[in-house]
Amino acid sequence: MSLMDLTLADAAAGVQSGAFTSRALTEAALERIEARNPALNAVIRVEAETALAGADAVDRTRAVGGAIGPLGGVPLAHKDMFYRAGGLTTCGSKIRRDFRPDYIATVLERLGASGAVYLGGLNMAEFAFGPTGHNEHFGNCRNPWNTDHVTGGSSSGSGSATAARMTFGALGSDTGGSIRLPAALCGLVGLKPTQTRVSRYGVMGLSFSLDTVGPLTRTVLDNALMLQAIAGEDVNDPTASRRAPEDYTAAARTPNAKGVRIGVARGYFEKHGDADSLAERDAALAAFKGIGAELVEVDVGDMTQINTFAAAVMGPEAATLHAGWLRDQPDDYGQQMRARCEIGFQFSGVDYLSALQLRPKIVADFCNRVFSQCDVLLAPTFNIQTPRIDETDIGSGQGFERVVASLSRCTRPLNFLTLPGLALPTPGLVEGMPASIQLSAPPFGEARLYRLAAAYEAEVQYHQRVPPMSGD
Amino acid sequence: MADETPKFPGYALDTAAQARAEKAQAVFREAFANLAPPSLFDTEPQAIETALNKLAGDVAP
Repeated sequence: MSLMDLTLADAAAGVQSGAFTSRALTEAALERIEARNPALNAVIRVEAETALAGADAVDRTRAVGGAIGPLGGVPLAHKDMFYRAGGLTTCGSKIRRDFRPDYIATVLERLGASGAVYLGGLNMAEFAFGPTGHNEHFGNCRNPWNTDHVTGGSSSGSGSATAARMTFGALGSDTGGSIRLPAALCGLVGLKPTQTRVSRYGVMGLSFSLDTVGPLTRTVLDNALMLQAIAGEDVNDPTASRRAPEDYTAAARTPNAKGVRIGVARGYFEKHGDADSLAERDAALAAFKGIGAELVEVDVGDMTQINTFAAAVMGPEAATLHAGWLRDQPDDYGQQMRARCEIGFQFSGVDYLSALQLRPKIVADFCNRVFSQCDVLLAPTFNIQTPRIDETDIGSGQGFERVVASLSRCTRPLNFLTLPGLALPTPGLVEGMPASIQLSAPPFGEARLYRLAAAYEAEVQYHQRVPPMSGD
Repeated sequence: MADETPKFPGYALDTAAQARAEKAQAVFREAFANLAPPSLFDTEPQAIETALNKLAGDVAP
């Protein structure tokens, strides 16, 4: 067994106790990447020297009795869009292939302060704008459960690398499902936090009203450990909430489902759904019931309308950020990225501002209606079978909007609604591929989600499943 | 004679984007008509953080 098969929490505990060193962990990660990445293309840049130097620094600190932090010595790789002073940050693009920012993202700074070791950059959809995992510039990322299938995106490398045990966890970003989808398609736990819970300073922007940053991990506790490290106010990001973070790791360590009212969202979330995928959702519901949760049917209303509001915000914001490059070097974009950005040009200013203006009311109406009936809402994270890479490799050709919509229809509403969403694997597989449920809660309800999810994880044990891999 | 002035001078935008955007805009405006109050005059988009805190306080157990 490789040290990479440990959970993040166990890896951190092992370094802390002296069972092994951070250097041993980091060397194991580098070996695993060398063995598995050729088949997956999840890691686009390994920074071995930096990682080993970071690991040695942690080991030296521990050797003299110093505090190494809750993630002390654990190597982590991240979606390649989090800035580090002087470090390459490609954003999965040709345009920023050589970009080296001169400051560090708050989330990376905080992970470092918690003792994590930076391992490298992970593949992603170009500029985080794509739900499948295709990338025309760095090559398509592949799913470790079956390399013919997509990983989900846009945090494709974060999903693939974490599931393939090349990293203990990874940061992703989520503007319409980009953390939850790769977590779901790769059999992981993925959290999109409440809109303002995590700082976005030093994070590549796509749509500043909808962008969020969060972790993809193999277990609930691992996820909570990473969120604990990165959540909280930030003087460099005035949009980050000043509300104090809850104790997420304590919540993950005190699982409870007894008496929790789980709202079952049907209607919109079942429409166009695949029977086997929905059967997996039902198996998850049965598991929750078995551990003491109460299931209640909840009418969530028409999410299609919410999605149109998200589109009216995301399109113009993305087009604004990319306007200069779209004018001066349009051919440097991939087809789908360019096509989706161009739609944003055409919305009127009144449309865009009307959507933003109405957002607080829509969020309040939704929360007051739904969370007066339940504590946590449950829906599929995606309700179709995992597509193959070849059948969704259509660039901006006919049908690309249908592919985008079918993959992200269950995740996109939560971004406009600002709510936290936690993707969790279901008890079984569909045609050998993971399926997933999504739990959501009122704003800043992340601890509530972790407590419930940890009880489910203990019951279902999905984290014991290992994707079939070759190349070791 | 048709007006040949480009809508976005300097850009080579795909004509398909225009059609997609018109469709998206029409869908948005219909949804807006269904959800919006008669006037947005007293609404405030920057109040989102206030709204989130209020909701967290109001509905958290």
